[in-house]
Amino acid sequence: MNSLLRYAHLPKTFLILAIFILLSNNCWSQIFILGGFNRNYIKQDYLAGNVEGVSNYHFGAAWSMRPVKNLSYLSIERQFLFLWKGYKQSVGTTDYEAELLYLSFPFIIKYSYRFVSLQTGISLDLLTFTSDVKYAESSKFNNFDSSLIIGFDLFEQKRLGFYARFCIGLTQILDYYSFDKLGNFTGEIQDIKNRNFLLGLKLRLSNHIFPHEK
Amino acid sequence: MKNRDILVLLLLLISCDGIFIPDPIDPRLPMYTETGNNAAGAIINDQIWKGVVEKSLFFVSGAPQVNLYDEGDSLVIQFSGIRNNQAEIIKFHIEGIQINALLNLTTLDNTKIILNGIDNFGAIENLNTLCNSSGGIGQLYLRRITVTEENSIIISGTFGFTINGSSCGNIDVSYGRFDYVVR
Repeated sequence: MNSLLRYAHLPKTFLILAIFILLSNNCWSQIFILGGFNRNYIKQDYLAGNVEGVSNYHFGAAWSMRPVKNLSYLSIERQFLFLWKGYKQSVGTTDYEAELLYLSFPFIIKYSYRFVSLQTGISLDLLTFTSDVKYAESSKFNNFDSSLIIGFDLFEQKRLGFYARFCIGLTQILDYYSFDKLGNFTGEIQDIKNRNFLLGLKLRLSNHIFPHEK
Repeated sequence: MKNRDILVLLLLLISCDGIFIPDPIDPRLPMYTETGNNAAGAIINDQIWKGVVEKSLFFVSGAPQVNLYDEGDSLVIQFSGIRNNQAEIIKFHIEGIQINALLNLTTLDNTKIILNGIDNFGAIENLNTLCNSSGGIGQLYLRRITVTEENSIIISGTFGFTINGSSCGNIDVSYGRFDYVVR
């Protein structure tokens, strides 16, 4: 019985999804490819030594749509990105750089006015590779990350646009142990939240232009 | 220890090279794991001691040794590593246990062994200066000992101890961790 209850929400989910798809079919949509640079920082409390940010890159595709035709200034954008995050740690003479490659799935709501689009949303990211797992079976970092997105697009109605985005990590990506000098385990550590600043260019593939942008 | 030659099991590693995953807090040390990564690390007098098993065509270096003596009454565990470009061995002498076969090591799973400096103690052997220090007081925590399907044994744990007044000076071993596969 409990196993059946687990799926009780599914009809409702399918209903919402169906409405969403129906709306999508009747609305305007655009497709983009995008890519650029990102500067990555972390928020942490436990790491030894000096911790610095690192620069990296990202690229992917996006699909923008108007969920409601009459609200032409409101759009929803879904993206699929390969996004490198990470940080650099220096302890004594040892430098260590954590490289974290995520498959990122941002879900963004945008409000457009003339050539500017303000955006906010949430990104759900899956860790696919780290510099630590070249020979190991698993990473010390969690497989899942999520972040809040705040940013803007410029000249989205042109063929080539520009975007800037700040992603504030909501999930602690490290679960580890803490132990004292003698080796007594004193608890668990949950630490490290990503902070990423993305800058990039966005190329519109479809020729379609939203009504208010004509 | 008496009759120490009755049963000596010299246990060499192993099927593969060690895996050094940097500790997320202090990347100079290996991360604490329980998967048989064949690596160990500690801070000795503010210097990093690191042991990683390396296997070449003709020999294996850095392998731990687990020796049983006195019909299983005594156990000696030793880890080989490098500190300040010098080969150094960390040893643990443990008495009063009743283990007569390697597979019975699992009875020590999740056991904290207090190193009192007399019966149970930690020791350091520097192979370059030949300076040996023993009588270390502290703790060896055999946090996880498991037998794999191939009858290999994974021993994982932590340690820390101090040796005061030795001819090699005072020695402080802290934040030690190990994760080895032994057969």
